[in-house]
Amino acid sequence: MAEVRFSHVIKKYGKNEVVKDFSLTIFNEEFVTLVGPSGCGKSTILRMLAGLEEITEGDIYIDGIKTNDIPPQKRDVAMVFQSYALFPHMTVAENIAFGLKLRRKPQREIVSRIEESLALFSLRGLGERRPRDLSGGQRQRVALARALVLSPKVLLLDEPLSNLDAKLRLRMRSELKRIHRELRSTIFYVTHDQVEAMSLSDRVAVMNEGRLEQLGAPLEIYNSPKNTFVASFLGSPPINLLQARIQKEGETLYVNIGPCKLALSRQFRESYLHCAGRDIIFGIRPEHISIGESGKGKPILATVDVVEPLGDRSIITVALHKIELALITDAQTISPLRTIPIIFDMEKAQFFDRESGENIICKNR
Amino acid sequence: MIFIVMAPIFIMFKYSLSDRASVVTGGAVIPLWPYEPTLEQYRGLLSADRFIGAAITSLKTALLAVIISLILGVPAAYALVRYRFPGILVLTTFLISIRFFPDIVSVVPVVEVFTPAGLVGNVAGVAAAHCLLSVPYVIFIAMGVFESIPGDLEEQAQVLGAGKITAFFTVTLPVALPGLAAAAIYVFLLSWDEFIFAYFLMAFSDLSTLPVLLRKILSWTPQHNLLAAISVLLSIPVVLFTFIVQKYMRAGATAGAVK
Ligand SMILES: Nc1ncnc2c1ncn2[C@@H]1O[C@H](COP(=O)(O)OP(=O)(O)OP(=O)(O)O)[C@@H](O)[C@H]1O
Ligand SMILES: [Mg+2]
Repeated sequence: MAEVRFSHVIKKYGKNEVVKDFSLTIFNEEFVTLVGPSGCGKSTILRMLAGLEEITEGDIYIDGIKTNDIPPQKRDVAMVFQSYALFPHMTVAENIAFGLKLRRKPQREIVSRIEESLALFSLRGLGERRPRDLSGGQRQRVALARALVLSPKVLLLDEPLSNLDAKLRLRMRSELKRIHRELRSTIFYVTHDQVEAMSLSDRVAVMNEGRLEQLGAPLEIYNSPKNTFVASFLGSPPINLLQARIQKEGETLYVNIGPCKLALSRQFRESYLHCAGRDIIFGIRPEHISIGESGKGKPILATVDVVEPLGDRSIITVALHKIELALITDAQTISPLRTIPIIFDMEKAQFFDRESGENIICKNR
Repeated sequence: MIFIVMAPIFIMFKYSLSDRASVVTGGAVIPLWPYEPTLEQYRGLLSADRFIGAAITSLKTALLAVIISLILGVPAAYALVRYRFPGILVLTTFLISIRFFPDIVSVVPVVEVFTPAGLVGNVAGVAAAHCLLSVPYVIFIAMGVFESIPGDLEEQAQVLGAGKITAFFTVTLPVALPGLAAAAIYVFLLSWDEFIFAYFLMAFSDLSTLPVLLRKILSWTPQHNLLAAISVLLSIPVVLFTFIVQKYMRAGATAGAVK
C-alpha cells in the first residue's frame, strides 16, 4: 500500500559511518529483503525508516512524502523488533490490542481482530498469558501479530524468525508469504539467513559494511553476483572461489586452476577474451560440480576428503591438487579418500577480477 | 538469624504489654512474659491527643515527602537515563552531596534557608527537608529501574502509534512501578523515622512528629512500657505501608519483554 524510497541515506554515529550512501526503492506491495553479515547496518536502516533513528544525510520518502522529520507514530509503519519488545505488564491479547486501542477502534472490532490474529498465529488459548510465560517462538509470534493486526502501510521485520526452531521457521516462512499476499503490505524484511531471503522476497538487497552491494531478484543475484562478497554470501554451502588464470591457446580460452586446464565453450569466448593472460577468481557453486565421467566438459580427478550426508543429498569436500572444493551430489556411495572424476559446469561459472573482486561480466555489461 | 531479628521485636512487644509491676521488678529477673498483660499503655496513648496529633503529623509528612520526592526524582531519573548527557556523574554526586555530612551539620543551613521561605513549624517544611535527603536516593533507585527497562519497549510503543508521552505512561511507567514502589518505601521509612530535621524545623511550634514526641517523652519519665508501646505503634504504619506497596513489587517485572 506504499512505496518507500531511500535516497542517498547516510548514517553516522560520531565519526563512524555505519550506513554509506544507501539508495533503494521498495515498490508498492513489494517484499524486499535486506541481507548482510552481522553489524552491517541492517537494523539501523530499518530504524531510520521507522523514525527511531535520525538520518545523518539523505532522505527517506514514503509514498512520495519526505518523512525525515515525521515522528514514528505518524508514519503508519509497523516494526517487529529483533528483540520482540513485548510489553511485559500486558497479556498477549493486550499486547496485540495496543496499537488498535491507540487508533481508537471500537471495542467490538478490537476483540474480533484479536481473535483473528490469535488464530492466524496459532496463539489460540494464550490470549490471557503474560509474555514471561511464553516460549521464545510464541513470543516472536505475538510480536508479529501485534504489528500485523494494524495492517500498516509498511511492515518492517527485523529478523523475526531467528529464534524459532527449524520446523516452526519453515511454517512461519510460508505463513509470512501468505500474509503478504493477503494483506498486500509493503514489507521490508531483514535477515542474515540467506535461505529466508531467497525464498521470501520479490527482491533481495545484499549489504556489506554499510554499503548496498547488489539489489535484484533472488535468482538474478544468485546466478550473477556482482562481486565475490555477494557470491559467497548467498548459497549454502558457499560458492567455491578459486585462484585461476585465463589463457588463450589458439582459438580456445582456457581457465587454469593449479595444474588443471578447463576449456571455455565458444559462447563465452567473446565475454572473456579481454581477460586472456589475466589472474582471476574462478567461482563455481557446489551444485554446479557433478561427479562422473559423462556430462559437458572433461572430467578431472579429485580426492574425496569429507562426506556430510544431508539425507537426500550429501555435501562432499574434495581436494583438487591441494585446493579444497565443496560439491553437492545425490550419489549415496561416495566414501572418503576415494579418487573421483568431477566435472565443472562451465556455463554456470563466474569470473571475478582478482584485485577488486568484481564480476568481470557484470562490469562489462 | 530469625532469632536475632525477632528478639528485639519480641522484647519491645512484651514491654508494651507489661503492667507496672513487671517493669519494676524487671531489673533483676526479667520475666519472659508480663505478670499481667495489659493494653493500658495503648489505651492511654491512643486516647492522648498529643500522641494522635503527632501520629497524624508524621503520616502527613511522610506521605507528602513520598509524593514530592517521587514527582521530582522519577522524571529526573528518566531524563538522566534516556537522554544521556555529559556531566551526569557530577550532577548526581552534587545531588547526593547533602548526605556527605552528618545531618546535624546540614540541619543549621537548612533551617536558615527554610525560615524566610516559611518552611518552619509546619508539615510542608519537614516534608521538604526530608525530600532533600530522599530525592537523590529516589533518583538513584529510579535510574536503576529505568536502566533495567529496555529502550526497545518504548520505541516499540511509538512504532505502534503512541507518542513519546503516551509511550511513557502506558509502557515505561507501569513496567517501572515495582521498582519505584521500593523507592516509595524508602522515602516513607526515611521520613517516618527521621528525627533531627523534624526536631529543628518544628522546634518553636506545637507540632511534632512521632520521633520528636518520643524524644520529648524520653527526656522526662522514660517508662519502658510506654516507650515500647509507642515504638510498636510507630512500626505499624511502616509495616502496613510496606505491605501495600509490596503488592506492586513483583519480581521480574520485565521478564519476557525481550529475548
Ligand atoms: N547507538 C549506536 N551508537 C554507535 N554505534 C552504533 C549504535 N547502534 C548501532 N551501532 C553500530 O552500527 C553498526 C550497525 O548496527 P546494526 O544494528 O544496524 O547492525 P545489523 O546489521 O542489524 O546487525 P545484526 O545482524 O547483528 O542485527 C554496528 O557496527 C553497530 O556497532
Ligand atoms: Mg540487527
